[in-house]
Amino acid sequence: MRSTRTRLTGWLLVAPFCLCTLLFYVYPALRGLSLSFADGWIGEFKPSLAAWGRVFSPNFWKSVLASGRFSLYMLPFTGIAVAVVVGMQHLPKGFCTGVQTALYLPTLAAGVSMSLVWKTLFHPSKGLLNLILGTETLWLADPAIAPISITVVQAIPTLGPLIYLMSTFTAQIPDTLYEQARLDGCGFWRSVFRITLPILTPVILFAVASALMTGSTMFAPVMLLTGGGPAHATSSLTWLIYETAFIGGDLPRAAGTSIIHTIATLPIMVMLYRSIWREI
Amino acid sequence: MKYKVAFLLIISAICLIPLVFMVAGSVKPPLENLLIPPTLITANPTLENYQSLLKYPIGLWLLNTMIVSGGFTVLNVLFILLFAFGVVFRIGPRGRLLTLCCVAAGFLNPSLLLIPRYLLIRSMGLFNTRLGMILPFVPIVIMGAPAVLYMRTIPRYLLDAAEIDGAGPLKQFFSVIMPSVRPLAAYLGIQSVMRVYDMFLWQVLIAPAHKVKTLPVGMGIVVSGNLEERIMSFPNFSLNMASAFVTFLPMLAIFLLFRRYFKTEAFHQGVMR
Repeated sequence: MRSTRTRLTGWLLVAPFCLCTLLFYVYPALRGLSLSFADGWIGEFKPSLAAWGRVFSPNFWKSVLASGRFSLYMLPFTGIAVAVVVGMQHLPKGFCTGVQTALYLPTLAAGVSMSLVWKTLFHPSKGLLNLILGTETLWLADPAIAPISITVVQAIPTLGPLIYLMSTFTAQIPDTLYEQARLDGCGFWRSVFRITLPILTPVILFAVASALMTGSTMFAPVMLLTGGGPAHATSSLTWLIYETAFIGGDLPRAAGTSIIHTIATLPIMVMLYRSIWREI
Repeated sequence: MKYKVAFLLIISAICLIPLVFMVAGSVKPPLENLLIPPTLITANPTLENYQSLLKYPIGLWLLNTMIVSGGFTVLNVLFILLFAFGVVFRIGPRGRLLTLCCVAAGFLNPSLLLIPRYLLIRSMGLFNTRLGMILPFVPIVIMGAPAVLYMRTIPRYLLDAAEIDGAGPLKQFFSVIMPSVRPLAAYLGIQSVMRVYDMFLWQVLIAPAHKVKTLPVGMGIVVSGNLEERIMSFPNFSLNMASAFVTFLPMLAIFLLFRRYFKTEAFHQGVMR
């Protein structure tokens, strides 16, 4: 008697989550697929293959390149996070909390606040960055430098959570392990490579995967700082899709691009969350 | 030791400098931005920039932000917890497959969902509404996984005891489950609030009307994009800094109030091993 009733209430309990998943994830994904095999303007789509012909335009490849660049430039920040966590080991707890908090503040300002501030700092003649560095760099107008500038704006706020996360891993390593290693004649670098990094490997993989994802999904700083320019150098795939759909009005082509984007990022997503299959 | 401390201090300083300039720039008289070379810190601090912000409906935007983030957080956390409760304690072996299917939906790239969701929300008549900004992201499916994993650590006998005492499923959920999953709920809550600030693109698209804009969109698009605010064809940097600071404040408040819960990133662990 227990089981039937229990199960029924069980399905009722999971219903809101599952129905919302169907409505806002599964249905849109299928709709996106069907939209890419249609053509026309909003409200009057007809079945057609024409949109796919427009997907692989020169701008698409420029966006692929820009996304790749962003991903590549994101990677050093993972390294910085690892370095900070390794550096914090064996230091007084109060100091570490201070550093963690300082690095978390930019996370709270991520998106619009950070973009507005950096836009000001990047200004070539009146910005403080050139003043401090004594340079005359065009931070947002030079196609070679703009992707780096945009990445910095996006990447600094990712450090805070990542460092919290990595610290929970290093906190599990007993201090005696390091003492033992030192007694055995193991230097600082050796104990970093032999003890700390192996423990951190899963987080580092996670961080690398999310850095790769961030590259192609970069949006707020692109919109607020460069608008995809100069010469499409900062046009991430998400920006291209937004631009095609909502500025150009070509929804089918944008849908096609987003399907390619999804397929391309699927391996990264699987890498990000691969352990779910084992753990659940 | 010395090097480590120096390294950490330098990194912290680099990350904090933009925020320092944000505060310092927001009290700079607007005309001072035209000086060459620009001043780092002004000698004549002023609140003029914050006063110029007052001609925009900031209170309303803040209210909208609170409604959107609050509504989203409550719905998201509630749905995820109910789901995990149902899967772990009620459905039985099929729950595992259900979780995998739902979580797999989280592998879809957000850009794929953007356009169809836009069409869907428009056809539901939710264009330019706060509900339209909340709904399409409920639930954050990927968080179903840590929730289910955490829920499994709750001993079954707690629920059995409650059931013998005659508690129904909802009563069990609110008086047995909720108190024991508080750290999980806090983690889900913090993550949800942080996400809302990330949903800039969606909020720009779905709510172009001034009266339903959130604070980040209002500040990022309306204030900084207003050509009338320019000074001799240069953007008004001081005003931009002031709007950045005002956008930052609500998040800072949440951080200061719930600081200890921000360290619960550990819940990613189950998803990462």
